[in-house]
Amino acid sequence: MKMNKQLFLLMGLIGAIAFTGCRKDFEEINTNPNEPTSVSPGFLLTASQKRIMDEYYDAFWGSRRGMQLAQYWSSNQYSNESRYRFRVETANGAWRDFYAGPLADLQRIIDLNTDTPEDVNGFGSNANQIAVAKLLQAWTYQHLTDAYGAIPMSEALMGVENTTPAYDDQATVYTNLLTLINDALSGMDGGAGPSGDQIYGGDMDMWTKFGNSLKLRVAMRMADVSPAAAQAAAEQALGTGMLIVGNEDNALFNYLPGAPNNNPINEDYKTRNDFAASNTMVDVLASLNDPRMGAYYAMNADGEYVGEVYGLDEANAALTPNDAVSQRAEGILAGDFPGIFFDAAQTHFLAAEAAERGWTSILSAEEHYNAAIGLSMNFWGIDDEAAIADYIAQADVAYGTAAGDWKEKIGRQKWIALYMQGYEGWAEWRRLDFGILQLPADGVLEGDGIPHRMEYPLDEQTLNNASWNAGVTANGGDALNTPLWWDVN
Amino acid sequence: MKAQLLFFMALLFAGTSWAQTQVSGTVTDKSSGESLPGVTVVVDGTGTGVFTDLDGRFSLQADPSSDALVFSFVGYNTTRIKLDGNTTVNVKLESGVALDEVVVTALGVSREKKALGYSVQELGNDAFTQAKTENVVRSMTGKIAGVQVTSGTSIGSSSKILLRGASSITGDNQPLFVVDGVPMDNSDYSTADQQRSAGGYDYGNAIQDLNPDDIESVSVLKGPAAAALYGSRASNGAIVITTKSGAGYQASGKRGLGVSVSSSVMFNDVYVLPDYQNSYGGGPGTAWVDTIGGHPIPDYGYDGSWGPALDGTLVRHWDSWYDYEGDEDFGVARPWAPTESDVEEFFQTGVTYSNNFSVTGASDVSSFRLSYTNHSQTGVYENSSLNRNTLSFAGANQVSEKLKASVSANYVQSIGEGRPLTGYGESVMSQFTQWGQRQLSMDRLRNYMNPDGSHRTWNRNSVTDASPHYWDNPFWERYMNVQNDQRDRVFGNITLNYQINDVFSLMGRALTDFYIDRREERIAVGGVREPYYSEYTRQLQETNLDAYLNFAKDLNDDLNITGFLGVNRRIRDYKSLGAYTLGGLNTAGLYTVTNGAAGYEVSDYQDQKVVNSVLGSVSLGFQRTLFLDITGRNDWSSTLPTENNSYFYPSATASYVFSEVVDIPALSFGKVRLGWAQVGNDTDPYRTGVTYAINTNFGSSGSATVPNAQNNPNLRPEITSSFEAGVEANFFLDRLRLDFTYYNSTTKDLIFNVPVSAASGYSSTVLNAGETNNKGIELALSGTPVMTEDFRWDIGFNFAKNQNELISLADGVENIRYTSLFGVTLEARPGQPLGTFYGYDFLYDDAGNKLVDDDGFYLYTDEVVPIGTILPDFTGGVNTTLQYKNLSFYALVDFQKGGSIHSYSNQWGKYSGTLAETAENNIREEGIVVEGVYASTGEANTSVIGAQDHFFANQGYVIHAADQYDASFVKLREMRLDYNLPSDMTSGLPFSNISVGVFGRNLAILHKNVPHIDPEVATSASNVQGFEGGQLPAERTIGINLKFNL
Repeated sequence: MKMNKQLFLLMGLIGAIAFTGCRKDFEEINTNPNEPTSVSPGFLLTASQKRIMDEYYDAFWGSRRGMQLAQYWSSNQYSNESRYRFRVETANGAWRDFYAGPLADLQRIIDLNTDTPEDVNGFGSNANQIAVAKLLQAWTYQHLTDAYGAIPMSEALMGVENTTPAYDDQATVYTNLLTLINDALSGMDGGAGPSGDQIYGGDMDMWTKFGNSLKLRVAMRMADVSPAAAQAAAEQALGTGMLIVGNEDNALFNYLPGAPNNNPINEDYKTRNDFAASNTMVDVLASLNDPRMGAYYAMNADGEYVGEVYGLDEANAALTPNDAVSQRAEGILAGDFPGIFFDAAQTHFLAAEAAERGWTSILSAEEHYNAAIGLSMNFWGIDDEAAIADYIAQADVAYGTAAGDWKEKIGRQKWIALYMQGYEGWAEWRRLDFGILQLPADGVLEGDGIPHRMEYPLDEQTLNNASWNAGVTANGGDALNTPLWWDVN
Repeated sequence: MKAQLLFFMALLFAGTSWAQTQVSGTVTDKSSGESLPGVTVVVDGTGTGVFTDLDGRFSLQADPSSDALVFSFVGYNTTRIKLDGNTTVNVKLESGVALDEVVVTALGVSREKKALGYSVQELGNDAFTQAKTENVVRSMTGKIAGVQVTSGTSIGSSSKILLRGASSITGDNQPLFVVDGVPMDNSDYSTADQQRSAGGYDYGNAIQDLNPDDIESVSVLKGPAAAALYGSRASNGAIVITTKSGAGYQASGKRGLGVSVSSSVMFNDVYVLPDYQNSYGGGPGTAWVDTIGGHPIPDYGYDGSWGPALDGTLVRHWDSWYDYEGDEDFGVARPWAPTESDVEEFFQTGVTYSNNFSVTGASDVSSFRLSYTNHSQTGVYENSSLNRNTLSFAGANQVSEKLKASVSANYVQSIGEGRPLTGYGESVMSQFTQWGQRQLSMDRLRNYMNPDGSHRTWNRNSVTDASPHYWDNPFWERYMNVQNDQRDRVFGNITLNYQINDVFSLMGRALTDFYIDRREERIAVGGVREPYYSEYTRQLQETNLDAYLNFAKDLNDDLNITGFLGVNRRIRDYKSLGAYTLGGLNTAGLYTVTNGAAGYEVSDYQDQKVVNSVLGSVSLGFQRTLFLDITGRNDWSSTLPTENNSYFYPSATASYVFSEVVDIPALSFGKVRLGWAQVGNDTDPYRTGVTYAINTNFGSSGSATVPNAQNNPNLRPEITSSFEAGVEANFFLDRLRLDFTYYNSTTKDLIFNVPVSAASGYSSTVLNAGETNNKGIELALSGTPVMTEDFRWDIGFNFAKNQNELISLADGVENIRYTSLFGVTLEARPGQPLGTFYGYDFLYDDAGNKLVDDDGFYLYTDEVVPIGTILPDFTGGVNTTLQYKNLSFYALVDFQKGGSIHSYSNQWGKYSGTLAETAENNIREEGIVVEGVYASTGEANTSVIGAQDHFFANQGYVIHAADQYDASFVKLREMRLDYNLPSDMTSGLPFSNISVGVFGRNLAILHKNVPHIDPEVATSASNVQGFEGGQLPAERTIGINLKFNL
């Protein structure tokens, strides 16, 4: 008996030694020492702005898709994408990097400023932080819907509460976009702008200009299918007079020269050179003696501008030596080539269109058109106003004499000016129907003709199947040639 | 110094001369008096031994003055008899009292095997040392039913081991390794790309630090029942390793010092290479790029072999453009012809030396063993090596009558250098098979550097641009982009045992496993990839503090009880610090992170996990025929939310030795087992709170993001419940032995980082995500068909079939994805096995014909469909041992039926025109009409398509199922021949117990269904398996062994 007592005593002692620590410890032990539990919303804003542009200029999403769909670049090897054989899995990265990347970060800024406003109001007024986040979300959603059509939006970004968000059809997305932009514009207050803003340094006047310009773009894109709503929105935006109208207003993300803060094109170019100037663009620039040629492309070994034929098959692409064709201009391959969210030339092209549609009369369509071309030239470093005037005076450029209807005239010049905004160039080709783009020289590998949308990423098929199916139905198919809601004609 | 050495040697050799004499006798059954044939008679402490003949007689050489004989036979008590000068020994062996095969079970407790209610199988030292490899896990291949080993190739690479298949979608499903009570870390820190064969180095899993020479025995405890007491980590079973100590030496009555030496030399060669075509050279098409001086210029920049026919035309090869003084190849045209120095000449013979030296000593109260092992290996890849030094010490001292202290300490230093890159994108095999030019000569590539230090590669951009387009010269990769790694590891324990009285004893111990693992990777200036240097240092320590109160008592003649009550605290600390250069290197050849052209990036990480446990076990034995074990354990884990962090799990097993009770003719032993067990499991640290990921500053601005993985504050522990039943039966005096097991286990509330639609804002969410079931059978059958005095033939067969299924998933989760590459995903979906491949498949008509479109191309499904599973239908092995006197021969064949792999070597090798089939049947000249019927008409296809179109559109690049292959194989895994020199041949020599052996491993693939590659694919030890890309060729090992005692 006595023995047993000793035993239990001993066991108790060992137990006490072994359990030097109680449950309370456990919470401390399981608190992650590697990552902060809270951060400045400004950090999230910086990251969001960078990550949107990182994906826009990503090798697969930007270079192999956007820049080739607009035929600004050709492939000099691995040319399948230029012939529209996109492997659907290569879109997984972009889908993830937009939604689970900047869109989620921007949503967290909105949530923090909504749920715990006093914790974060030192980083800009709550209202202004929310407004800027919403505008960037709207920009990103428009980019996605113009590529795919129906996309998750109203049920998106809810985390574990909804891991299979439904798709909104594109008409709904566009309505939501206007709501989002209007909420942002009307929600701004007189307080400080957000910290961490790499685009405008927290200047809320500039964000007002960005919001109105974006609203104008959204409106104009739906102009052919929902003219009443489009007109109302365009008139509102233009009526404020607060738009991106000079290059000093441009919404640019100014990359830094070195990794990891350099432009992704620069990073990709360090190890690969898969792309060259497309003959589609080079030929147009050459025929117009366009001064932007040297800013867009480099001369070949013979000192000439020669575009690589767009859409060659692997064998033919490989047979074209790199030094026989024009490569991308040095400035574009530089680490600090800026990411372009919105530029003044675009606003004027949109305004020119608004004038043609009778939705604005402050300036004529031609005045806006000429201003847009001049601003584009300036943006690309051409400051010789006389040369610009000469360019515009050419019969093929001059608004009065250039071929085609106003859509084609504006479309052609806008396409030239939208260089390095591949997805916008492609969107305006679909909407303004200005031609120019050619079928791949060695034939289309998938679908029929030049694509009108992207196929959804494979991940959605496997991870969000029911919603994906409904989205496909809403679009009327998941093919490259299925036209989007706003893409009539 | 020299004098000391001589003195030492003299000490060692003192008293080592023996007088060998013929000793003989008869062995009989004690109760029946019948003679016993086939009894093993061994001179104790030596390898020398014989079997008794049909009349139970034996005869062997021994020293009657000092030797003892050990008689052992299945079903009888092993008996040791000191000769004490006798030369005739007649022995009566006792049977029936116990079939006392003793095995090591959980917590290192030695138990009679017959008392166990679950399956345990053991391997001895021979299994690990007679045909050595650098990773002990590999030595277990094919030897035990239900143990599936998948190994990589090349030095120090991974070996994944699964017991009863993968039960969980979490972790890596590997069993817990326990060495002398120390739970050993088995991490490999493989990257996601490494796992899916997309590139990186295979550093192997850390259990390869175990030194085969120090292993005494290995017990494989399959299933959670066997391992319930080790806690969560043993839910996939446990591999309990006992290392050699001085205890056996002491118990055998020896005193003083004994020395033994063991040496092996092994040669490795590549033996599985793809079948290449040798008719066409590099280029995108049959046209030349240009001509110069009448000689064509091939397209060096293209990494495929759809080029001109290798017809002997004089061309300017890639190496004819280097205008350096004395370069004889400059400007010279040579024939465009099949290579005279093909891929196999890239590889060399790898040589391994393994030497072990150990000293064992004993006195009446203490014993020890000290061992040193050097493993020195060069790989089949030039400039690659692995060097491992192991120092181990084990000692025990009976401090007083009641107190015993023991200690073991091991130090392992493992240094790797020049490991080959693996995977689809980077492995040299990628540029030979997946993206290569067939006419290349390895001899010529060997000259990889110009006199000025610049890079010479075949894949130059053009005639005027010598910079690499996509690929470095493979020898440049070998000699310029050299990685190295080092792991220093210490593990061991200190144990105190106090015998309180006859019933109770108390054990307290501290165990630790600690290592520092350092990896450095380099990319030289001048290659295709951005110059780079990185270094990662990882430090891991796991410490366990245990205390157990053990008890054992015979309550009466029929009933005994044993058991224990214990506490355990486990503390795991992990830290890592990594740094890597950005933007290239400023100075070529200077490998330090501060040499980064755009600076460098540092990442550091640490985590800690603590689990407290209380556990207990009670075992009851009734009349030595019926046994019952009950265990219980409660864990408190720091990784779970406070309100859910305590979980209890019990087990109950029973066994009944029916042969003791019922008399069945020919049955010498029979037992049934039943068991039920639960094991709870926690998760990784830091999965319950909200945090942010910090990025590199953007200029002077901070940058942070919401992590892609969403944590969950409501996690619950996962629980595995398993049922197991088995029967063991021996017939004909144990000449035929059968062991059969059925098991069925279900895991609920699996904690998994579930990939979800990124539109939710997260790419994954940590959830209690679902339920899986695993069930199967295991069969081990062995027999001894022939047994005479001098000759014995044993044959063994093992077989296992495991089925698993994902039963259900949490709401909102449609599937669980392990990984994906080129559109093929590896997933778990409800109703499907864990690890099912999804991709596009061919379309078939009702008669099973493939459908083609009107142009003659195969049609494929609109959506991804299941196209295979990594889970094999069954696995197993057949082994045989022939023993004639002192000569023994062993062979092992193992097999796998079914299972599926996706091969990128096949896919891209066809796409790029390097593989044989891309130039067979005049396909390049005449095209091909693929087998199939038109979808439109149902008529047989007659449309001709070009070879390049065919290998592009009809293959796995587009139709994933086209490069999905059956992974079945039959391999001649191991063969060895060992000879123990009879002691009379060594008398007078300073050596004794000399044995020599020759062996081979991975000798041949006797059968496989996948072309070009080895179906056994492993690039990491993770759950992500079955993707093959740029596979490092399989290696064959031939070696010789020498062992002796001093």
